[in-house]
This record gives sequence, C-alpha cells and structure tokens, in this order.
Amino acid sequence: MHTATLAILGAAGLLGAMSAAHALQSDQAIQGDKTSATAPIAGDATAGRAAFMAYGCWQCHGTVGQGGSAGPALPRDFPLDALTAKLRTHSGRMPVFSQRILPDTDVANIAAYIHAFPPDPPVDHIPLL
Amino acid sequence: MGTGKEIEIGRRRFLKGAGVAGAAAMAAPLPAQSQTNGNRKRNVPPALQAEAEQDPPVNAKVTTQTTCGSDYMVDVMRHMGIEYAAAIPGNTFKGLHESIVNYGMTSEPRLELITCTHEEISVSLAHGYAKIEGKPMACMMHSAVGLQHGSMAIYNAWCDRAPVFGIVGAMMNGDTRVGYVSWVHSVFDGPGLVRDFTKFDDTPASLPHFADSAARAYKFSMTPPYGPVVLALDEHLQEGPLPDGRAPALPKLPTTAPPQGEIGAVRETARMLVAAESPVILADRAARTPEGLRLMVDLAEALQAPVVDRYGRMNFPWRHPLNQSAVATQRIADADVILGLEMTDFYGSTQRQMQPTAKRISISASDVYMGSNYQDFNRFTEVDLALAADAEATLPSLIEEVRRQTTANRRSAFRARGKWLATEHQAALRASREAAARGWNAQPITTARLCAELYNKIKNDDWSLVNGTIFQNFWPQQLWAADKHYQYIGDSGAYGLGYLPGASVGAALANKRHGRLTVAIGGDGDFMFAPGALWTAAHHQIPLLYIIHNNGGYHQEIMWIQHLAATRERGVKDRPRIGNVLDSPGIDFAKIAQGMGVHAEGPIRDPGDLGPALDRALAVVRAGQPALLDVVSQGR
Repeated sequence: MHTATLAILGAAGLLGAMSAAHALQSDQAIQGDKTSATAPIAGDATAGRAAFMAYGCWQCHGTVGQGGSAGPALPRDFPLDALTAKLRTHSGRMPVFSQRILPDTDVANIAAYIHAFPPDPPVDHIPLL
Repeated sequence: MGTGKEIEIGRRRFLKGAGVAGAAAMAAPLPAQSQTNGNRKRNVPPALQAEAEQDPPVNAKVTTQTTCGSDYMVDVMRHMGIEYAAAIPGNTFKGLHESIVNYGMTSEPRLELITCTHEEISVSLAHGYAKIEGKPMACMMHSAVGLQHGSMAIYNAWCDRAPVFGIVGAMMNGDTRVGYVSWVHSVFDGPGLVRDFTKFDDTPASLPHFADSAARAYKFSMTPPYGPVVLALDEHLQEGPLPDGRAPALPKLPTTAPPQGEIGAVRETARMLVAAESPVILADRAARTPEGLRLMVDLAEALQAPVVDRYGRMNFPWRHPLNQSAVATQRIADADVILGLEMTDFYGSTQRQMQPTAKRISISASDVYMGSNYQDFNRFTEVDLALAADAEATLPSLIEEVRRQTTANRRSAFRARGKWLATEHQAALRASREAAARGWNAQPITTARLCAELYNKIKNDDWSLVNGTIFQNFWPQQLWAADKHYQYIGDSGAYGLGYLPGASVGAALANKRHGRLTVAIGGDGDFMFAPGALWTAAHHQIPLLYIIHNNGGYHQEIMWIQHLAATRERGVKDRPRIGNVLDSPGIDFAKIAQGMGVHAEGPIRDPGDLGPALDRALAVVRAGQPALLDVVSQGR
C-alpha cells in the first residue's frame, strides 16, 4: 500500500470500495449471464486454485471468492463463458487478461476452482454472526 | 535580562567533562573504517574533530538561573488546556523539554511528556489523541530534521481536519550555534516546510509574542476546519531567563464560535429537503463532537431521511434504521436532493451514481479555509447550494427549520419513508451476515472473521475502534453496533502510511482516563513505518490492543502493478510481487512487539486460534498494558 495509490482509493475509490463491499453481500456484482448456456466445467480445480493465486484473483476476490472492499464476491456457479468474457473484456478496475497472458486452459481451471470453493457453515450456525 | 550568576570555565575543560564523550559518540559510526586502516583519528570527519578538540575563541560561561522562558511556555500551554507533549528529544527544544520534566510534570495542572521514537509518531500520536479528546496536545520536533520527519504526519492531520499543536525548535542566532551539526540543523524559516498544510505558524521573538502566537495558534487550530499549527521557538527564548524576572501575563483563552450557515441558505436547504421525495444525507467529517453525532440523528429523524456515512468520523449510529451506508449506491441513485456534510470528495461520492436532475447541497467549513498547493480539496463539485459553514454548527438551525417547514402531510410521508428505510437497513444487515460467513474457516483468516471474533470479545466493554476500516472491508460498520462518538474516529486523512501506530497510541492515551478499551486493526505495511509507537505505549503503560492485519505486503500495490502488467501483456503471475511483498524473510511482528516489552502473539493462521489469543491479549489490555496480535489475514 502506498500513499499515492491509497489516495486514489481514498478519493473516487472509497465509495466504489464501499459499494463493492456491500454489493458482495448478495453476489449482485457478478452473476454471470444466467440466460446463456453454461459450459460444463472441465478444468482442474487443483490447478485452478494455483492459477487463482498466481494471477492474483485472490487479492480482490479473496482466496475462496468471499470478496472484499476491492472486489465483489464470486458466485460459486460462475459460468465458464461468463467468466471468460469478464476476464477478456472487463472495463472496470480489474485487469483485462488477454489469451496471451491467461490461456483458456487456465481460465477453465480457475472456473473449476470457483465451482469447488469449500462450503461455508450456514450463517445461522455461526454464533458470532 | 538575567537573574542568575555566571561561572567561567575553560571550554577545553568543559569538553573534557561531557563534550568529548559526545564528540566520541558522534564519531562512533566510523569504527569499521578506522579498524581497516588502523588510524581511527584520521577518519574522524574534520569538522567533528575540530569541534571536539579546538580551543574556543573565548571562554564559555555557564549561567545558573532561577527563571526561564520555557517555564512560562509550559504555563501558557497548560493554561490553554494542553495536557501532553509528545517528543523525541532534540536539543533545539531542550529548554522546553527540561521545563516540562522538571516543572510541567511536577506541578498542577500537569503537562506530561510522552516519549516517542520518531517525530512522525509524535505528530500522529497527537492526531489520534485530538480525535478522541476533542482538543490538541503538543508535539515537539527538533529544528529542520525533526520537522522533516514529522511533516508527513502533519499532512495527515491537515487532510483529516485534526487539531495538532506543533512546536519546532529553532536556532536563530548564527553566532551562538555550536559547530557543524548545529548549522545543518538550523533553518531560517523552519515552518515554511509545512506552511502549505498548517493553518498557522509563527516564530515569536519574545515571550509576550509567544503568548500571543500560542493563543492565536490554538484558536486557529480549534476553529473549524480544525487543523495543525506550528510554532518555531528559538532556543534562547526558551533557555533565557524571564525579562525582569517576571512572567508576562497569560493570554486570555479565546472562545470561538464556529462559522454557521447563513439563515437564508439554511431555510432554502430545509425547504429542498422537506420537499424532496428521496433526500439523502451524506456525512464525512460532519460530527466533530459527540453533540454533532446527536444532531445528525435529530436531522435524519426529523426528515426520516437516509444517511450514508463516508466514515471520516463517527457520524451516525451504525445500527440506526436510517443508516443506509450499506446501500449507498442505491440511495444516491434514488435521490432527488443530496445533502453533503463536510465531504472530502462530494464529487466522487455522487457524480457517477446520482440522477442528472438531482440537486446537491453542501455544508462545509472547507469552503471557508483551504490551501491551494496540495490538492486535498478534491475535484470541484457542481452543487446547487453551497453553505460555507461548519456543518455541526449549522445543524441546530437546519433541524429547527426542517421541523418548522414540515407539514402534517409531509410528516406522514416521512413516516412511511422511515418504515421502508428500516426494512432496508435490516435487509442489508442480514446480507452482511451472510456475506461474512463466506470463507468463515478459510486460511488466511478473512477480515470478516477477524472483525466478528474481535467484536465478540469487546462488545460488552466500553470500546473504541481507532483505525479506518476500508482495508477490513468496513466489516465493523456492517456487523457491529456503535452509537458513541469515540467508538470510531476515521482514518489518517491523507492516506499517508505510518499513521496508525502513533495515532492509535494517542487515541488510547486519551481513552485511558475514561477507562475505555482501545482497539486498532492496521496493516503490516503501515505498521512497519512506525513500530516504535508500541514502545511508547509500553513505556507509558497505555492500554491498546493492536492487531496486525498481516496480508504479507503492500497489497494494493501488487494489484496495481499486476493491472499494468496485464495491460502490457507481460509478467502478470509472479513478477508484480517484486518490491511489494514483505517475505523472505517474513516479518515476525510478535517478536518486534515483544522486543519493546509488549505482550504479543502470532503469526495466528488458524481462525480457531483467534478467539483464545484475543482473550489473552485483552486480559493484558484490560490490566492497563498494550498488546499485539499478528493475524495472517486475507488481503481485504
């Protein structure tokens, strides 16, 4: 964290961060295209986890897709085609990952990892919440 | 001048006593080189060697005194209500230092010296203290280099609209400077370094002048918008005796009424708010005091209007049904009138979300006083009505006008709106709890888990959270209940790193007398700027739980570099970590803290270990000591 970039976040980014933080509550920010045909997830979840970490997805979305002030939560049923489209053409704060630096095989693996996120206890079973 | 007697001694004799030891210490960094060539003396810098050994041109005079200017300075400061002065020693304010320890700390009302290890800590400590106590404390800095060290923290206080009473030593008379070091630590206009981000500075030439300037500095510092001030105090003014042996009169304390909104504009603001179908109140540093928090509730309830808190201060109770911060984007998008109170970035907070037809009203003391070089005023916001006034001071008349203009029909509409907003608040709270469950058992520990575990342990205490929460995803605001002004004090202001260690100790110092439990969650990168603040907490027995949000580096920077690397289609996977990651070796924060006498545990990796570690640490804090926990956490 550096002063200059913190300032960027502190200015226009803060409300965005607040919104992202709150938007993740209902997974509203990333839903994928529910109307499109969802491609089967043929990737390798173990390799996908490694790619998820290596490409820095975890930094904003959390290691298990829980989201945070820098990026929304990831739905566990994120369709591969929607994920691919998001990675290739995103126009927000997330980097655009071209095929050259993030091959389709890695995207498929990441999608498999997202689908394999470990289950969480129901909120009603967590006394602290 | 002069109540004292003079004793002449030879300068060489004086140097043989204490001075040679000092000169040797100054030469000490060079032994490795000396050992290499076997001639230590030859490697002492000529200037220092000359200073240590040459005969002085005249015999020095040691004078004993029964009065001194700096005792009077102590009286002026405590007369203004200043109770603490934070400092790392510097010989240009040694007169004041000696007066504080031998006079200020031994007579009533006490002015206590808080020992620090860096001027940035001294200033940020004063910054944090002021936001809890509602008044400034002093921080003293050495001439030139000390102020340079403290300047970043002064800028934080400036951007955060926090009062800090800065004192910097000065050696104005070149004829009495002793040697090389004194000259390089001398500056003709020391406060000029920070003039762009202080509200007032002066270099008084006499004690009456000091009294005037101190009162003026205090007044400006505490007039909204609050801000830091700096006085440069010449060493001779501090160390010399009182003129004629008598202290000048103490300055009359100013009582300043903050600037209030012009009544016509206040009425128009009330008219627009009452007539609006979907008003929204945005607040950043609106509640300067506990009274401001109460007034914010009064205004919101009078209108049954949603409040979106930008978290610059504790502006609105976190669990109040009208608190709509969790759905800020929706409320702003719905709004036909947006009232911005002491907003740092009104433009960025509204421009993209708001309807083109929506009206914006601002009430801000920043319209009254603002600098121009540093651009902390943010992007210009096209508002429909701007009240150049302090928001808190304007709220009483605005609330009165809103009540006066509210008809029975509007009151009925307000009630319906309030009911709907209450359901929205509850829905957002439920959504937050569900979101917090994501990754509940994950490692690294989620920020939601960390905050939930912490709150579970402190919720029955009179707690005070003293860090900004953006890097913890605002989980405290989402999950905790807070309705007291001291329970949240916002962030650094300028997002200059190194703020929280000192500021949290300062806030804890202020909370200590009230018996409050102070907790802080801060990043590992931020902590590494100023870890010595923990020593101050240990030394002065200031109770504080400091939790390191350890995400292993300058997390945000990794993302930025990765973003750029992706754009340039190269080196996305590993190379952005270079320069941004604090590993190889990883930092043992617990050891750092333990090395300064602070109870510490970590790294804590398993979320199941967090609760017991919190219990142990909080037991230490409740017993009056600082404690640190190093929690290996998710990035955000």
